[in-house]
Amino acid sequence: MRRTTAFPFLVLPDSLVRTGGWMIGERGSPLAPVADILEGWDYQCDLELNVEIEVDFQGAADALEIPSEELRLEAVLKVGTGSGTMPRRIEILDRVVLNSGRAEAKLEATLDSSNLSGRLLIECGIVLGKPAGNAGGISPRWQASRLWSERRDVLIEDGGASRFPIESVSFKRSFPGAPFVAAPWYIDWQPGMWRLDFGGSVRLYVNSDFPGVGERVVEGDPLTLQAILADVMRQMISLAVTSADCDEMLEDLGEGSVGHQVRNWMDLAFPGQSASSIASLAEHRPGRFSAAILSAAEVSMDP
Amino acid sequence: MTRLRLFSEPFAKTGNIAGEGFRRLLGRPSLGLLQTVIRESLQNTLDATEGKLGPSVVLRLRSLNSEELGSLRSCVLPELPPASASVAALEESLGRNGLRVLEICDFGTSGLGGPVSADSPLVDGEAPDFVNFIRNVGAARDTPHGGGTYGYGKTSLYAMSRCSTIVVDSVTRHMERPSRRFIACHLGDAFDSSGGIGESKRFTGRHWWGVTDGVDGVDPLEGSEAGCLAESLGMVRRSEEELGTSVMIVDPALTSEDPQQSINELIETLLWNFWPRMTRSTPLDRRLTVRLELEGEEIQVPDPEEYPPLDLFSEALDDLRSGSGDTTEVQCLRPRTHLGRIAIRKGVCGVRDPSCIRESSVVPDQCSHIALVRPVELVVKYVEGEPFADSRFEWAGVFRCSDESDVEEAFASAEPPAHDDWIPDNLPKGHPKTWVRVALRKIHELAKDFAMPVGERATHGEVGPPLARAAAKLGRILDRASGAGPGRSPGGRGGGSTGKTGGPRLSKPVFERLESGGNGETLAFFRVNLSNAVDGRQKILVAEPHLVADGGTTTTSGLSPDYQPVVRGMRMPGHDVAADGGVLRVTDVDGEVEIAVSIPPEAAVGLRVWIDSDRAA
Amino acid sequence: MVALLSRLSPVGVQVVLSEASEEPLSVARIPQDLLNRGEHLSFASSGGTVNRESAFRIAASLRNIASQYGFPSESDTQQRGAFDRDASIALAQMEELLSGEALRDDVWACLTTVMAPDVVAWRFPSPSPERFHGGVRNAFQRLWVRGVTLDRGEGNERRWELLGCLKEDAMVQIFERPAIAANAPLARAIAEAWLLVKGRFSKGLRELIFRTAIKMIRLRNEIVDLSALEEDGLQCEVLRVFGNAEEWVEKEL
Repeated sequence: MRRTTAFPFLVLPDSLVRTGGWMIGERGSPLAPVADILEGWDYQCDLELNVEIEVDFQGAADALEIPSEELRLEAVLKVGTGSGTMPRRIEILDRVVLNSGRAEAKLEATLDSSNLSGRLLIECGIVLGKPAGNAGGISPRWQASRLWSERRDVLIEDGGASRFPIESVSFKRSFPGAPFVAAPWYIDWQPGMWRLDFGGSVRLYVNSDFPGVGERVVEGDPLTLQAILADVMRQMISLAVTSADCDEMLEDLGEGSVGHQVRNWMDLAFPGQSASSIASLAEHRPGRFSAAILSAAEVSMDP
Repeated sequence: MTRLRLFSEPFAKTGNIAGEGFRRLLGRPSLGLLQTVIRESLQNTLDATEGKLGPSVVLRLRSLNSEELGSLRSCVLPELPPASASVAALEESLGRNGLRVLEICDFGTSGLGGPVSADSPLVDGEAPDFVNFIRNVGAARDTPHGGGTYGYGKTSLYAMSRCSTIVVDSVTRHMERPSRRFIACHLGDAFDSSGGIGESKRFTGRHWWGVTDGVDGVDPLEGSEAGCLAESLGMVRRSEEELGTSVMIVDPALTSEDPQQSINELIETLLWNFWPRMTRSTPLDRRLTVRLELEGEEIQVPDPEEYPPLDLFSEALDDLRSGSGDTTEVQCLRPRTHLGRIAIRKGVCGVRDPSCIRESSVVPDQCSHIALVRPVELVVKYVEGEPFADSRFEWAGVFRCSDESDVEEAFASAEPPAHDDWIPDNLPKGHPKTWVRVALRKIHELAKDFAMPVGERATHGEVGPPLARAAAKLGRILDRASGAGPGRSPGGRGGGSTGKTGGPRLSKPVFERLESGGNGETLAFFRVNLSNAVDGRQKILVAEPHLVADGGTTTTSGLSPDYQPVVRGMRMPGHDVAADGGVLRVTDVDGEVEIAVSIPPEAAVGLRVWIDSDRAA
Repeated sequence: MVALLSRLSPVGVQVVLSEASEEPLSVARIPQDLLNRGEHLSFASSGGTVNRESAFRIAASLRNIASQYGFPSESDTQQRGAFDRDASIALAQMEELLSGEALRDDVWACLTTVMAPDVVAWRFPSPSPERFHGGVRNAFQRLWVRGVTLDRGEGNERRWELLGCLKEDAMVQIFERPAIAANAPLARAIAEAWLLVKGRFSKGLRELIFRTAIKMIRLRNEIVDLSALEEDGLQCEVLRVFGNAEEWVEKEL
């Protein structure tokens, strides 16, 4: 990186510091290299993070004009979270002293995801661990002088709006006495609220009492997801097309709204057909109507 | 003690396969010799298994003591073949002090049954095992879903011996009676020699030591004499009920002189190739039990479950066997055919057994392999995939092809003689070829992709299962449906326009170095690049330093003058252009501009440089 | 299990505000009118339990505190200051806000715009839109941040003393600077140092000295990672800067 800012003391050039690792993932699972987006994160998915850092220690001593036997550096791992230009909250999660006998370190942290939000700003930095007695005139002279750093910004949540909200609950506990208490899933939505944000008004409840369904949804089993998606589509399309003013009703609805989504699904399942002809199909050939929706709901295994 | 007679096989008028061609039949197996020997021998053992209990195998590596060596020299191989190369090899081996032998002994198999001569007719239902193993070359063994063929197995045995010699002791049943057979065999090159009555004759290079058949060859030594001779060599004792075969490889060419190394190699080879038949969940009638002896001491063979990464392979195989685990179907779409299933397990990299901590070990440090098996569950080979980027974890998978006979047959036929690969090109054009090709492609794809997904989700007891991925997946489908859904920008920064038009331009100032100035000052040197400025007009470059806070610019307002950064000079190296302060006049020059800034002791400083057109005008 | 709170998109804030400009925001029109047509409302798609009651509970609690200081009648500066302090304390301890949800702007946008616009309008008699949008100036978000940052911890006898010792201007100096606000130990060290030294300064100079010191700290933090200092070292450093700032301000005058 070409620096644009001058510090009042000598710092470390990039060539003397090597970082590796930058691995992140769910705790207890294989970590993967840090990327721009961490897929599949939510508040329940605690994270593990590590970065390896290695300093050419003699080179650092020369660059900072501090005798290598007196030089104490500290490698610091900081993680910030919360949206904004700067993260809302930054904490030091690991720090390791580096000296002539130990010029490399693996910085590690476990992150409690319930306290994370939106993004992670991961910074690996080197600061002066201890002022040296025999330092040069422009050597760093304060403890924690910033000497070098590298950052990665990771999006951990796409805002929820483009996602299909899912929750796993026990139907016996959450909906006691409801006639659907033994159903594998239940889609909660309010008819007629076509203007509502899809992510805010449609919610899929997966029955944790129902053996196997939760697992299949978590694993992304294509057939299960297809059946669920088709269920949502069928419910919404059926209701929409039976309204006399369906076409007008679904006009002028912004992206992300339920109505916009339903309109798209209608185009996907019944390309080129009017609402009334779809309604007619639903009435006279309900089997074909359903199958067309099931077919449109095919869940691709590809990301 | 009976002394065996040598018989060297002459060429028949109709021709035989000569010894060297015989040896060449093995081709070029992609495995090491020891691996080939073990694989081939044990495959044959598994094919020959009879009864409710699975086969057991004893592998012994030992040195012959002086009595045993004496018996080998004087009773088993009393006469050496009349071929100089063979004589030299045998003499060298038999002359070795502490001559070593490697024995592969199986129990619970049928032994080498059938007639002892190749030209004897077969009794109903009898397999010509003896003839095939000892006499015939490359005869395919017709076992349904079987793993091996004899011809290749036996050649590797000879190749393993430095003197191309093996001794075979088998207990079998022949004509519904127990039968013990003992014979020694040597495989040399074809040679010419006097046939004993003065006239020169050509020989195939195949030699047997046995008892004369009264006509023109030798048969195995049989009965109690055979048992006595075997025991005189220290071979495993067998009663008449203990059916099976012991093959003794004389003077084996092991990769290491250190017997412990050889034992390690044996353990690794055994487990790496036969673990599917050795796991605790293998049905008893299929389970292979192996005992290992070094100089008479038993060496423990670990269970695959205790031999990472075979622990993961074993779990994956269990998933396939039970049909309850998380498995992936491998399908051919045209024609729609079920080809098999893959199960993959992942876990923390287990500590490797000492036997596979060797440079030449085939066991990977971080496993990312799929084992290919047919329903017979012998490992054909491993397909290597992408390992987890996190080296603490590994994964292991098993693909087992369908047991539907057309499909199984396709995969079996795609195997070369050494059974160590599936080669679709070995098959004629048609569905079977497509099946094998499709399966291999899908296996390779899965192997490449398995480690890619980030953070597999698991259910954690009380806490609900994390559903973010499913939510994301369904969310992506919403996006797909909407066509113009919000895309994820790769986060790249937009490059500014760098057009040549618009007159002179300056690059962003870059900090170069720090120096101690006189009188305690600290000087920071910045550099900018002036371009497109050769236009005959004078330009005024203005440099203005500023303080930096929170990563951005700030002023000195409200602060003491100590905080004020000051430009001490500007110059263009290589040109006669310089100024003392932050204003530089230039005419008709392009190039680097160096700017020295005196910076305050307790703040970071940035620099802004611009061309002041107002002042120039 | 994290309580998932309702979120209002920035567009949603605009829509609600533009419609509300015709008549004053009042508690009467909140529930049905605004909430039911909440097309810009959403929840996190997974990771916790949706609790539609939570936001109402938080709003009710804030309204309750406000009513102790004159809500819905007009209020004076002192009453608003007292509300700020009490609301900060209350928000900092609310269980629903102990998760990453409280770091989200859209969650606060929903609380201010949909759940308790009447309280916002009472606290800021002619509120600018930034009091409703999520961010450092959001009417409630800023109070929550102050509360959780300046909390001396459970069991401390004077747990919330720091909230009372900083004037609004000083709060803004700290909490509207992301580099300081994000660094809780630093923010707390500044407040603690201020509590120690402010008595030394004449009232007229306090604000100037504080502003100067904050600037010096921000400059210093650019080259020295103040968050990497131990608590004592950090406190000394901040006190030293206050000393320098005092010296300079007095010399200047």
